[in-house]
Amino acid sequence: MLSLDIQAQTGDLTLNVATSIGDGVTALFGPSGCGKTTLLRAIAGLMPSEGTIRCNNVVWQSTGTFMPLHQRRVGYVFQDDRLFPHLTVAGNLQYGFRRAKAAGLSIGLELQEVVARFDLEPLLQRYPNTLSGGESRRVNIARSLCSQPQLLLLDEPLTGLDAQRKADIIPYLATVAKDLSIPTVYVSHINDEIAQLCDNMLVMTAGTLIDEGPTGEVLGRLWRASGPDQSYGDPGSLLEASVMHFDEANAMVHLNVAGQELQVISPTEPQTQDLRLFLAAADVALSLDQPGRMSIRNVLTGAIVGIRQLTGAKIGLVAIDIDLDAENHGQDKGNDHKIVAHISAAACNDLGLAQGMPVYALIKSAKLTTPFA
Amino acid sequence: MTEISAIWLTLKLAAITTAVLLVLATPLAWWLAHSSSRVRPLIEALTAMPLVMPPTVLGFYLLVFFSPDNALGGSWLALTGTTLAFSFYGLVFASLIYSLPFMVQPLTAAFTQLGRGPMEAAASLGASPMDAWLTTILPMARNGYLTAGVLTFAHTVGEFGIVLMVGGNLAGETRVISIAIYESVETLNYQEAYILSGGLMAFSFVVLLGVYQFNRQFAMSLTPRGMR
Repeated sequence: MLSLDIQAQTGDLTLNVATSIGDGVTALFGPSGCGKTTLLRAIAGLMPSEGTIRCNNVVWQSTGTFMPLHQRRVGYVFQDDRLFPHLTVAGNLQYGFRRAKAAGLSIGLELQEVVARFDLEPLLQRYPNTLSGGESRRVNIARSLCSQPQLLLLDEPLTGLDAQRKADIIPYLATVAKDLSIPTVYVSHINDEIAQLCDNMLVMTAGTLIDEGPTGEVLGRLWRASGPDQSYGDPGSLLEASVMHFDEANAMVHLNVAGQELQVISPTEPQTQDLRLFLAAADVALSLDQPGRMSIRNVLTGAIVGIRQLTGAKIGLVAIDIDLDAENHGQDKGNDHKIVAHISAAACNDLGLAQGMPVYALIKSAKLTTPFA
Repeated sequence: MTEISAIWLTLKLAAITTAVLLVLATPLAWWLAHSSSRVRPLIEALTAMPLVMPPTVLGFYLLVFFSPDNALGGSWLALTGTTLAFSFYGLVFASLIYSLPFMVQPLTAAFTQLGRGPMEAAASLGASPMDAWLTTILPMARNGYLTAGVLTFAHTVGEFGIVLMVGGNLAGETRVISIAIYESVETLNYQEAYILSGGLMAFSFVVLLGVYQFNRQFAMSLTPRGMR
């Protein structure tokens, strides 16, 4: 558990952040220049700040005390590549590992285990300038773990990689994050990465936190609040789902979402029981009657809890918020079993949709966002 | 053979100057590369002064400082019983100052280019500042060290004006190659002048060729050095 309450001034940015970050991955999200990297540097002690920082009951800094970075035990993956060019991949990994060992520090991560997990065996004798971008990012992340950190700071660790490379690395990160119960701060401005990796989320604007909480809830609030330009990407809903069974013949996973069944195509059997599901708002259609014969296999029932007019690029559309828990009868209970549908304003008027009405939500497609799906 | 003693003296002077400057210039260059202090430009300018000042001016002031009436010359006399002026150690003092920019500037450039990144990364891996410096900056700046060392050595070998001012021409004590060449020409001993001048020119060329060749290899691929 990392607790901080710090203030700092750099250039025209005033950093003022008080929060606690638990085990698992916490996304730090916000527009560029809002102070994400500055916050990480302050947490690491690379940038002077006022206030207190405490990690697992060890005071890293407070009035009159300041622990330098090499004593803080922070695994830091910098935005730029910081592998040591004069050492092989093995030498880079051993750098932190040996020092942690000499100091008698361990979180139980053996070098061999990290090498195996990040698939680095073939790279061990190579020098950093011979690695591809994706390989180099993998080594950077692996190296930060070898020093047995109490906290991981990942500053856009996948920056500059194409979608394929990202898809290669995200599984590594996801398993590591799950298995090591150390707080991890993951800086990103990419919705997909956050949805796939992060349990919790901090939203930052101009040096201060404006929202925090579980990823699904925070993303939902962010998307609803992001205004006419939909600046935060493809809005939709993120749902927690659990696997009921996998139908191998049809490559179909049967999921339980808020007590209702949902089927999603998946080429392989999911490795974990709990998955996260992304439903794009444009892929959700509504019906007042029980739909008949059709190709869409997923029909969820719920009640309307909100109707919002969209503007700008989405003019002519309305966003309908639907609560999947039928017993709530359209009362917004603030749970995360909500989905959002974008339908035309004309359709909304013709159907006479209103708050509290029960509806059938037809899901054209859903995406499993957990990487092993 | 006066040439042999002059050559030996020159190499000794250059080697001592280079070794001492390697130690002294490193912290100065590191500070110049990373400090945001307001006095940095002042120190930078002072460090670069020997590049632009006539050696005679520098030599003149050094002679003044070496005088037993002044603090430096006086304490040296009290300590060793000899004067600094017209002695080998006087030449070492003069060379340290005269060659300082040739050591400091390549090192500052190397440190500036490396930036703070390696130190920060090493600290995040648990290395204390000195440990981090020795295990990341030093090996990564070896290019800069080689350039600085060679330039300093070669520049010291080629000193003339300042040696003439503070050292004079005492065989085995202050008579370095450049002075020997000057004297040969003055006494119309052209054969000796040819030998020494040709030797000095060949030496400079070989050294510079070696440095550029090494730099090219270093830049192209970091040769494995048995890391494992």
